[in-house]
Amino acid sequence: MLFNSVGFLIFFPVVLLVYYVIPKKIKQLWLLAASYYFYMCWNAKYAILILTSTAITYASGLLLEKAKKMDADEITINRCKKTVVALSFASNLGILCYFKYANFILYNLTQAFALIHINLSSPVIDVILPVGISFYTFQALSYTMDVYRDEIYAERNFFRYALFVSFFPQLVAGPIERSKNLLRQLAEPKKFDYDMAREGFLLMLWGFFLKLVLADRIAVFVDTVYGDYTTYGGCYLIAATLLFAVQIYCDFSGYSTIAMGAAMFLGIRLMENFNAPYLSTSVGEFWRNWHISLTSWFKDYLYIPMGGSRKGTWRKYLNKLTVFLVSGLWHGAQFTYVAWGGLNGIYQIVGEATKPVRDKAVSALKLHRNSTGHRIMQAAVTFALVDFSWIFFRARSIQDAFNIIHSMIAVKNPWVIIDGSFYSCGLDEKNFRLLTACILLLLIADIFKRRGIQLRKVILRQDYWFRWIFIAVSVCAVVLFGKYGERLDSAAFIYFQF
Amino acid sequence: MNRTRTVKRIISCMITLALTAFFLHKISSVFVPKDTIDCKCQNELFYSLPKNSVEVIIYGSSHAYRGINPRELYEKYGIGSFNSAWNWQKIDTTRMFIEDSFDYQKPRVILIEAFNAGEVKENADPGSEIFTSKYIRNDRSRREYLRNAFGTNFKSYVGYYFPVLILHDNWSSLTKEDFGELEISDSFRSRMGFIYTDGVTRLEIPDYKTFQQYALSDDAKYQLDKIVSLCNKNGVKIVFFTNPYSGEYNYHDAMTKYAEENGCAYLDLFERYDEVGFDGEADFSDSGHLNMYGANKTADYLGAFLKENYELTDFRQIKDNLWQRSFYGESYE
Repeated sequence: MLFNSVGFLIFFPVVLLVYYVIPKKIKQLWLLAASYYFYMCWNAKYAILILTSTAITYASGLLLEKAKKMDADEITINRCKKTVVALSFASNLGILCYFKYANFILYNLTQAFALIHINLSSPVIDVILPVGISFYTFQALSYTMDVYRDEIYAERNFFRYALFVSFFPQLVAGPIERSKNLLRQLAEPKKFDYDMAREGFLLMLWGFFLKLVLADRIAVFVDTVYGDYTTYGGCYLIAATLLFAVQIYCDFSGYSTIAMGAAMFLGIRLMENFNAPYLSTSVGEFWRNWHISLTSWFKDYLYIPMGGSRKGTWRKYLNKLTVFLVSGLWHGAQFTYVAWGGLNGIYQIVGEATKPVRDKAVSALKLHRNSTGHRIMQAAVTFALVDFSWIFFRARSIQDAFNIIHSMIAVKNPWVIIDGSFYSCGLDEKNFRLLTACILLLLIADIFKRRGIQLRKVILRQDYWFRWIFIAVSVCAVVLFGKYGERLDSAAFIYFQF
Repeated sequence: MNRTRTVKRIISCMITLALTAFFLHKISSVFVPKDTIDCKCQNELFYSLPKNSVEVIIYGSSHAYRGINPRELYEKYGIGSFNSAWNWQKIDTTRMFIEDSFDYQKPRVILIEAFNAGEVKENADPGSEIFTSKYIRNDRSRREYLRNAFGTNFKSYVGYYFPVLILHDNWSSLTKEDFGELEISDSFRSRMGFIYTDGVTRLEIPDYKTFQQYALSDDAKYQLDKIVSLCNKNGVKIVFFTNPYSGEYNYHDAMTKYAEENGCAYLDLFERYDEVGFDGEADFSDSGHLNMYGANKTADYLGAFLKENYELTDFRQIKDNLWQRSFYGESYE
């Protein structure tokens, strides 16, 4: 079930209504049932995978607690704890690998053997990638790690823990919640909080705006150009690549925002997943503000355990590159994602390695790092670098990505920017004007966010008549300008495939 | 205190909801399939006619609304008719239009063009010609029609009742006219529902004897039975007819049999092509439809049949009658 589907517009109010009406004792069970129903609407069979992952990590939590209380020396206890963690990781990542990476691994092994003249026929495993498997697997694994690190006690109530893994607002595309935040909030059923619900509603509205009005509108242009990049070379591809950066931001942050809003209706605060990432002035800063829940997951559970920056410069660089390559692979079983991740890792390594030289240059040229002009330039360069890497993310293959880059450079057609040629790529002039206005609105909202001003709170502080009209007009604007098809068909969120 | 606050909050939510619904409703009124606007005009024109004034009403698909001219019926035979046919009117659509029109008029004869008589609307797209049902006033007939057309597809109902949801992409092609009140032009009024085309496409009309023949579906038969029963109850005679075009017509045998069994007339003008005097070189506007000349020939032929077989008023003998005023300039309102 998609957030932007008619089904969800019925499902969500029903879930809320029942949740606040039924006795406290069964509220969590109701949410658990609703969460499984939400997932099973996509593929009922694959609910068994969430259940398996839940059972394994739940058991690992209890075993870790038991190990801690063992009457044995510390070395034995640690060995037991590590064995439990290893088993939990191996089984969960095993499931993930089978469903997500098995065909990728088999195909590439076959190709590798072919290089040494051993020809094998590549077997194909007939599996469908379960929606959101990477998200809930990582969320469940974070729980095992948190119990192992004594950051939380193991959860004894299986149903509560199962709800933590499957909580429907963030089940299929994050934010990847931490047990410290979400499990604690799920401990007690909530009473209806009017103020939170109001805030949640505005968040959902903003999320729908990002997804339906911006992301899905941009997708029309980007899909047309990238779908036929041999015809649409040069400035078409440059424009499509610039817009794809906005599309993926709006698509993914749109989902996270709707998830946060939906959770607030249930009295739960999910973590922020995006903090105006395109206003970042370095790639490192970009990654601290983009898909925050995944970046921080990798930092806490991969980068730091590998030694982080504590084992010297070269090891730090290697750790960073590893994290970003794995992050790329997390997104999908394709080398394009690996290249995208690797590129972002290299940006950061090069950025850090050249920092002393750049500092000297800034000092020698008497530039002011804090001046607005300098910061705008830094943000523009960061955006250009990140956007360049999105080419690999969006392309169907590495070869396609190189062809696209070549076509961008080789085809010279700057006149298409002004002669209206763009309007033949799925969006007419009026749609482009609307898009420009909406991107400006997003930019303004992001600037406010970076300055610590949450526009939804500003709106909620206004007089009642303003709020009424604002909400009514905003809903109508999303309905009117959203892209959701004549048959009320909803376009899937890009991050569902991960 | 808490109770007062709760009441205030509930009121606040309800006002926001009501405002949103009001704005959505207002926006929705602007979003209608543009190719059904003429049907809205046609219906409004029909409702504006004096009650029980029309003696012959024509129903059916575009083969009828572009294929029989009420003015010719009046001028040649003095028949007072109204053309209530519309694009892709399937037999259940026709039934809905008939039921609705009987609330306002008591015709003596109805002409049902049978191009789509063997079919009913199924899995209908809520953003297309099904929208014509919005322009009729008989809620009961419309509800039944929608039940057949949409089945249990909830999305179709949502789209039908809130057209902005399915037609919102048309926002960039809205014009001043879309925001204005419906205006029925004098020229539209003067045609009594008939929409003519005067272009000429040369056609070769196939031999009707070579057409593959299908049986009427059970659903279509059910709808026809309902129409016959309603007409019998109201003492209205039914004449089925088919206008020629360049494709095949597959219900000749079935309609002949059905008409016979139910005491109705059926005139297949494919069969009577030469008798009517159609000319493939001059009487068609495109591959599917008659032009003004062809529509007049159909009217001539059917008019003669009606005059001969049914007791109809010669309105030409009545001074300042509705059709005279409509066709020759003066409005009847």
